[in-house]
Amino acid sequence: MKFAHMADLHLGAVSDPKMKGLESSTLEKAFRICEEKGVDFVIIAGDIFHINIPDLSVVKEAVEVFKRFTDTGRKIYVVYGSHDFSPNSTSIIDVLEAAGVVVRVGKPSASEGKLRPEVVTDEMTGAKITGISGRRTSLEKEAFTDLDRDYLKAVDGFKIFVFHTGLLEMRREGEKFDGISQSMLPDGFDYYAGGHIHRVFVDKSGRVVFPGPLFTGWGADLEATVLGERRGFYMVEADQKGKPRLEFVELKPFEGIHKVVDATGKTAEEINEELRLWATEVDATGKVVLLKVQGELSSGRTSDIEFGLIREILAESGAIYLHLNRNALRTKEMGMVTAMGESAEEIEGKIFKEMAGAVKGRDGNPVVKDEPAAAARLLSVLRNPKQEGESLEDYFARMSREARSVLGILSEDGSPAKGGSEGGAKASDERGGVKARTAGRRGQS
Amino acid sequence: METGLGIGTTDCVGQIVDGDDGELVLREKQGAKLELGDLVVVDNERAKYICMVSKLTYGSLIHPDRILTSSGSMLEGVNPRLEFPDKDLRIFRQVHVKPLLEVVFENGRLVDRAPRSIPEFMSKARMASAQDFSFMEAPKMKVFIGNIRSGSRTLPVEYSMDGERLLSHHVLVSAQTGRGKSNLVKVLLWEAMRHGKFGVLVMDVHNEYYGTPASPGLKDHPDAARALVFYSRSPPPGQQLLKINLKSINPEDLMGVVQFSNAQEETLEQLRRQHGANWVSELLAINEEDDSFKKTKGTIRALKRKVCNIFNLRETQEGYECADGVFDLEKMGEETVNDMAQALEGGKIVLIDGSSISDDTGLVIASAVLRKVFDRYDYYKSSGILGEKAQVGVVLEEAPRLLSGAYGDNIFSRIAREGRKFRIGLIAITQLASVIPREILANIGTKVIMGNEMALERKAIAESAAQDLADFDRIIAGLEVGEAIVSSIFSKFPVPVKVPKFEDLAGRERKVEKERAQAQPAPAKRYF
Ligand SMILES: Nc1ncnc2c1ncn2[C@@H]1O[C@H](COP(=O)(O)OP(=O)(O)OP(=O)(O)O)[C@@H](O)[C@H]1O
Ligand SMILES: [Mg+2]
Repeated sequence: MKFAHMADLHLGAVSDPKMKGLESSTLEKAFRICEEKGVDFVIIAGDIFHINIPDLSVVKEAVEVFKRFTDTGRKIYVVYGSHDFSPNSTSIIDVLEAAGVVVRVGKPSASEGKLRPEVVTDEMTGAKITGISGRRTSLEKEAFTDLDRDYLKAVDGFKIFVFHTGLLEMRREGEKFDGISQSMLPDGFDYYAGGHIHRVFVDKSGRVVFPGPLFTGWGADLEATVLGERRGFYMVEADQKGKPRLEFVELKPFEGIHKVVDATGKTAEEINEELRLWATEVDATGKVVLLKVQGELSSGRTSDIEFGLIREILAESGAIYLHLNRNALRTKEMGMVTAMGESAEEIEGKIFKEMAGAVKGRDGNPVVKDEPAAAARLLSVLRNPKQEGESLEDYFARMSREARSVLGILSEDGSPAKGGSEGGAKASDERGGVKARTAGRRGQS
Repeated sequence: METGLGIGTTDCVGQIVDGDDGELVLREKQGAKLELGDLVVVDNERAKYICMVSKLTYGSLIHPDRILTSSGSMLEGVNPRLEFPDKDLRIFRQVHVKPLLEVVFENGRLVDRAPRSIPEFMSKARMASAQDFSFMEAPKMKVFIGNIRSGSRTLPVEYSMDGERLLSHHVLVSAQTGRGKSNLVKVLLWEAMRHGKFGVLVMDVHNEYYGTPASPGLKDHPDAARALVFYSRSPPPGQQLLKINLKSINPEDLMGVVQFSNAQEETLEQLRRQHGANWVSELLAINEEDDSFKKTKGTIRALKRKVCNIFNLRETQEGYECADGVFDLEKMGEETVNDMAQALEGGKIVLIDGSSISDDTGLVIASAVLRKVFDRYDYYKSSGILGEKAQVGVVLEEAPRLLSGAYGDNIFSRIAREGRKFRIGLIAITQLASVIPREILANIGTKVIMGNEMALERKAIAESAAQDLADFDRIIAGLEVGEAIVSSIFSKFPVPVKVPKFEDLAGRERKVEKERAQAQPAPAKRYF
């Protein structure tokens, strides 16, 4: 038998039109290769979509590609990923499954406190496929802990276990993610199809495999791709028993150029000059450009650097996309704001006023209204320590929720934050208020 | 009569007839049957003296000649009925007691201190009772060690120590085999886990700490989920796989534990300088038959052998690999040592299943972890936030040679010397305290002394103890399993305790937990 193992497609993650184009052509290319190589089925180990209810145009394009494949009588086996699963509303995966486009494996049933994930048999090859969906790591851990291992052991044939969880032992030095110990994977499977971790990984046995994402349109993943991380999926060939043969199909979603500029000791004007020169000279046609500006400007604000202009120049010369990383860009001037005041609050207030306007959104406008007040509210929320008995994840979720609510930003699942500003305003007056409110909320959920 | 000192109504067991500030001598009341180690109390309106029986002798008011004559005639059957008049008055036992503590009523409360005076002559003595210890206050970060014990009688008085102080100033548990050292450490860890604020690294060499389905262990602690992590080659679900990338191990970790020749050490240093974290792979990759290694061939070969031994590596067709899978030469387990250090810092007990690895290998792992903790804590100290971090400790079983620094400086002797400043302490378990250098022994704040028949060992401990234990020698020799004398710089007297049997302690709480769990069944789970 021959099958393809993909993961972390994150369809719909990018908003830039050209990147969107690349995203869908990469998906098409992947399935075209599957077609050409004559795979019997495809496994997607979670996070097909970037959110649980993505833009319908994204869904339509994906369904067209999937349908073309499944119309030949072959199947696509999936699990939920951490992005396309929703605990309290329908996921697009459920819709696709109802329409017969994908088959979700490992549907849970409980027996005597043990979890028995449903095992699906691929009709064409007889492969037995099951798995555990991704949700939030703490919940996956519970599922793995409760797994009925004897029940899975009794299944025979060529067995595939699909999961969307990182393995703690595969973390590189300094890499931080939560996950499960490899020892939590059930024994005796011929292939473990992993997802969630955005890089290629194969363990020593050659059976535990993470193909990484197909396409990476944003953030650190995009940077890694530009810097040479392989992107694609695994083609797996196997007989009933014996070690599967793996072949990585590299998709090279885009060509990239990578430029790092150290601003330390330079003025904003000098950096502008340097960037302008580089942007006009570099051959960026048909490429994704990664520009990283770091260090501490000797004078001028970071907002004095004309990234907008650079973007235009590059676009004109035919670059697909500019990915800008200025997280490590500082200015001396920023550090030199001084303020006097009676109380810490007063000093903070003054500094916020001083710095208002220093950060601008992509459209050149401030990201929030009334920045000083928003900053004060945000600070007040962020001051809240983790509470006794609160898990790190819950704490993080609470912080994120409250911070978003204070800033009036959409919440993670896409719905607008509720009751943000009034709760936040109260929070800035009295810290105790926030605590009490939080406790109340936790009680309800 | 009831006073603030709580003078009890217990029967009199004797009366002071002699002695000085170091030792009082009682004439024992007939039939009182005092034993070595018993606690007796002598009190008056002003103060109460708690004393421990340290010696028993005979006393008689009959001329020695008469005694011998009378004994002779009894033995030889000359006159078997020969008796002394007023026998109960003229023949008796003398009980030598050591005043441990003086309790006085001061400013409206009871204060205990080292004895500054002696009781009135001819004062009466009685057995100590629970009430006599009402001056004891529970410390802040209470770690229960055992019940106060009067001889072999356990009093309903709990003796606890402050966990911060206990761990930061090192603990020595010393006894000969089978007297309950491991049991005591298990009790300590169990009690420490309640707080979730003590990070203790434990190499579970004999598989006695975690517990099994049949026997209770730390896994059964009600707070185990948040206060315990277990690393094993084959961990139970929810626990961690013991897989350590060799890049996390520094030559230093080996050199402190295994003996190397100078030439070998130099080669190790050189490998580390040249290849950094990859030193093991690079060492193994050397072809010592190559001409360029002509001079060092022997050294390299010996090094390879030692390294393979420690990490259980063997050569296969695809290169070297670890036979038991604990160590990884490629890309797995790079974060494991960091995770362990992080867990300790977060106040968890980190238990490493040592059943599959040798003692030395376990120590190498411990060294790597503690080195990391030390580095972090050093940094926290310099940034002034060390106080927010958990007090860390490490249980070292039978490792006096490590503390002696026989193989040069290592992380363990470093902790013994300066760990206190960094909030890292040792819990050293040993049968051979005499092998530990004196200055290190003197640096250990708390000594839990359990039964030991070897005079040399008793002497070594007594000499370094926080209190003068010279008179306790025979008491220590006679301690039963689980009985201990705790001598600590944080206590004003050597405290006789009976450590609970771990199974009893854990069993009690397990029962409570079980009943609670039965009372409210777990909600049905919705996985996804
Ligand atoms: N406080 C106690 N009360 C009752 N029984 C005890 C107590 N402490 C230990 N025991 C029992 O005594 C036996 C030996 O105890 P333990 O293993 O703790 O001794 P040890 O000093 O660690 O011995 P070793 O030197 O072999 O490591 C065990 O069976 C244990 O259950
Ligand atoms: Mg033991």
